[in-house]
Amino acid sequence: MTSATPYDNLFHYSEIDSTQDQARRLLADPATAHVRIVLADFQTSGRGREGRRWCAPAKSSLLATLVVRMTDFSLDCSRWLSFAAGIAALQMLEEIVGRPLPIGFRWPNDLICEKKKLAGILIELIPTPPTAEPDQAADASSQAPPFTALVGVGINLQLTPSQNDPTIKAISLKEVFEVAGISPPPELRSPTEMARRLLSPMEAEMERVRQTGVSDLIQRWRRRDQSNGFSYQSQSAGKIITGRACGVSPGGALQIQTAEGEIFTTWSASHLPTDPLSRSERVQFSGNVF
Amino acid sequence: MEINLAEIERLIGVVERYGLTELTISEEDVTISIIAEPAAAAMVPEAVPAFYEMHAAPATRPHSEQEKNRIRIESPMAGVFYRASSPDVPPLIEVGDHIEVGHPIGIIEAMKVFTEIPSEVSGTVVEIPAANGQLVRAGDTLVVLEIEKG
Repeated sequence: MTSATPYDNLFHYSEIDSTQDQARRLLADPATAHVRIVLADFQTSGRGREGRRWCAPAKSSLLATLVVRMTDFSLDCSRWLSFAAGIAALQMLEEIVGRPLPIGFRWPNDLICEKKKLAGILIELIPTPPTAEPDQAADASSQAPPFTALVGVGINLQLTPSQNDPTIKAISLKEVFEVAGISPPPELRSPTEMARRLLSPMEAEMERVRQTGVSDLIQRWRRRDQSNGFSYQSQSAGKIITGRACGVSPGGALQIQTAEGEIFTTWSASHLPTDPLSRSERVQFSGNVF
Repeated sequence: MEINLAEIERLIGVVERYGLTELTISEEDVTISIIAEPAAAAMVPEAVPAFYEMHAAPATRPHSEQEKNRIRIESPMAGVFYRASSPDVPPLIEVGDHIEVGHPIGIIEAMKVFTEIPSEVSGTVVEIPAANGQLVRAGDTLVVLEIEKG
């Protein structure tokens, strides 16, 4: 890491391995356990699902981890934090602009515009380290151990197609504004300001999951859902299902329709940048999916 | 598609046999959805408070009457179980390891949320029934620990 700039609860680095990993390190140190935002201009080992790397040239993207405490939170509700984080990110952008933007969700929480990826979110839910929860030992009456959500957010601010991985159809926030026909406000030119503006709705949405459940959350997510038609793969222990998104279950799970017309519902699936069905690949299935 | 009790029972059997949590069948203007996991179905608002209380933390249970010094740690949720935080690092635990309370035993992923599962007890890992990358449901045994006889 280089050039850490810690002030109040935001730690800004010009270069770091991963904002997620750095958030863990800061939480484990009593001197920095008050961290709420880790921001980087460049990540050398940014993480995505299934060990994928999230790569972006320096200062081309907002790369941040938001640290959100989840006291009295049920682990079985953790999956819905994914929707909450996507909603919070979209809410932050639209609040700054002051009007709706042509952005939707691709299950579970990619932000997309014109079927191209604008932002990705990955959440790690970890037991809150004792260093970050000094009263934990005294609070023996608490039924649920305190957890902390590390919400990794990557928003493409100005990445051009030539800089981008050609297999990933991406769009920058700058291009989204062009699509919307509006000028970007100054706040959206500053990753630091965006990260700060994102923390409050992120905490509010996650607290809402804890307090009011998820039916309202899922309804609000559905209003901006644009997942249908995208290719997904669900895989576990040699069992692979490939198909196109065809809906979301009442509980928020993704429904995938295979080339044979069968519909499967899953909590765990990856969006495929390429479309294997158009290449007539065989669909493999051997049961036991979510 | 003709809807009758026998057909619905047959579909429930398919859900159980393959361990599915949800099955949706659509034909013409008829759609049948079967949701096997109570937790998912309970996500309507009225069931949420009790649900929070039931699954506040990973459950630990005696392994059997004959082996009372063994504790199995159950999955608190449905998802994909991972033994390591990424494909290129060692597993969080191995059989034979002695772990303390709070030590992570694995990670469960659902909807791009990776939840680290801490051990609620200290002891020695004697079995890891859940394989890396395996789909698990709430209540499935992830790890069996042998605790010190007090």
